[in-house]
Amino acid sequence: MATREAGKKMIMLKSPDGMEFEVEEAVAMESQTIRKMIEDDCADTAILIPNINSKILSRVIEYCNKHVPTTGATGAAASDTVAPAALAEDLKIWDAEFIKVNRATRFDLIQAASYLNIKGLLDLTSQTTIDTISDNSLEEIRSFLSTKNDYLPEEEQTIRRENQWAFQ
Amino acid sequence: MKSGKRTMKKKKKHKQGQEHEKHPAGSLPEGPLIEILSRVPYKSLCRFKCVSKPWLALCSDPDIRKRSPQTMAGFFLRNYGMRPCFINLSGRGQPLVDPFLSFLRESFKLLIPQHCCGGLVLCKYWESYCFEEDEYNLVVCNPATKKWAELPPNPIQLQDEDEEEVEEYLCFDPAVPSRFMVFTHTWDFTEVIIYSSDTGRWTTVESGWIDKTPIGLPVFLNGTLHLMTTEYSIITVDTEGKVWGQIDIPGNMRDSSDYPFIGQSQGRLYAWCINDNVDVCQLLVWALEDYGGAKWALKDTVNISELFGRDRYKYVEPLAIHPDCDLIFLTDRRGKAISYDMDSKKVHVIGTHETFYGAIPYVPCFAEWPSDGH
Repeated sequence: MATREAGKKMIMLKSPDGMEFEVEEAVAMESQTIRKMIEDDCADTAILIPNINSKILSRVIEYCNKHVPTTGATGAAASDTVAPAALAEDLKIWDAEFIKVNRATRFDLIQAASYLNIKGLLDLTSQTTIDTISDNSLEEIRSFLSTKNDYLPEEEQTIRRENQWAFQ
Repeated sequence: MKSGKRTMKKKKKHKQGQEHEKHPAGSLPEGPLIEILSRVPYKSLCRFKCVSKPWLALCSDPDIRKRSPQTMAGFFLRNYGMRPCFINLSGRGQPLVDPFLSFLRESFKLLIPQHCCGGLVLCKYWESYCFEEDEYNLVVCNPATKKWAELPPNPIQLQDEDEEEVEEYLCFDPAVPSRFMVFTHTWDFTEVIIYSSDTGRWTTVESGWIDKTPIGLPVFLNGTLHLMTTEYSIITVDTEGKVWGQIDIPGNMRDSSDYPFIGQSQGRLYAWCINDNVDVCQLLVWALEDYGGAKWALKDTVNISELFGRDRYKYVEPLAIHPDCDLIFLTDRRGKAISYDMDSKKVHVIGTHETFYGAIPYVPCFAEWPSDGH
């Protein structure tokens, strides 16, 4: 973010494992949860982000840094220099790289995005998981998400029959 | 940091307690799982019911089903009588909607779908079978939830003895499911009449579209109704009938042999037309890249002969654009209909002996009914 001017308001985010991250207020406010805290004046010094470890929090901040609107992702101001379509395309490529993480990290990111209420990140992480599982068999889905099949055989038969059309 | 805890609210009410329970390694807590499931299409949701009992409970949850994204399921046809008025696009499996709209036909003898928007369908209905003699009335229904509401008589019909054919347009945004609107106008277009489900009444406003003649199906996008006109511009109005506007179309579209069509895909306005020169007949597709600045970008140009074969091109009619992908539907008016993928350039035949003419794309919506209805 080389174009970022000096003198912008900074916010300190703290992870439960003791790491501190200084970020621009605008970047932190990509999270609706943090935005609400700032607007409610609950965030004068530092904000503790519970449940999100420093490794995940740093990735979340990385995402917010890239997606903060002043970079022109949605703002009209940037359209004079770079076409909005090109910017969107650039972000798409960046997102695709960003989400190349292992399964556990991705689940942590979904949880963090859900908790911090960052719609774009939630869409990205959830959609990537959906893309992974949507063509999988039920058994593959169960194993991918470590979910146990707790149906009795006859129960499973009934529910399969009722939803047979969705398997075609 | 007490402040942190205070504002960390959960968006959803689903058993929040479980969120903090221990989960087997690699498994997803319920919160993120809800986020994932509310993004999968309805068909996948039904399949996922078979994963486990907790998944069955989640996938059957109306809150999730309401949020679950819907894509284009098919077309409604302006068919009256006993023929099905819905064409299932997936071709296989159970259609999401009853193609005969049987739940309405119990109450209305003659019914013709007029327009679809956001998952609701506007139909004309007649009290008896001799529809040519009778005045019609309007009913708006949701074929996915089988809810419907009759509209009070349209004031134009009451005042207009000449019975000029007028169109009615439905405006409904599933993101704002609390209300729908129906637009119609006097034949000379001096007045526009708007029905709002909020008030349950028609309101007449003076038309801001002077000397314009709308043509084709409208597009409801960003709370604004868009209509192509025979004057080669797109006219717009908000749902209150207060803000009237106009969007110019790409210059070279004016040279097309037929009137352009408009549609919406991926949140953008699209316009397309058939340009039939002596040498070559082409489909041209534009996307409105910058809404405020009316900046159009040519998205695709393709020879019709590549889509239909040389002998048929004279009759080709573009039908619609897919709301979620770069897919255009065309018919040759002899019953053959195709989809054309502008990215992969692939052509698929979607029908060979049905009349697709005037077919209206339909995306189901499971939102609760906006107002008192059946």
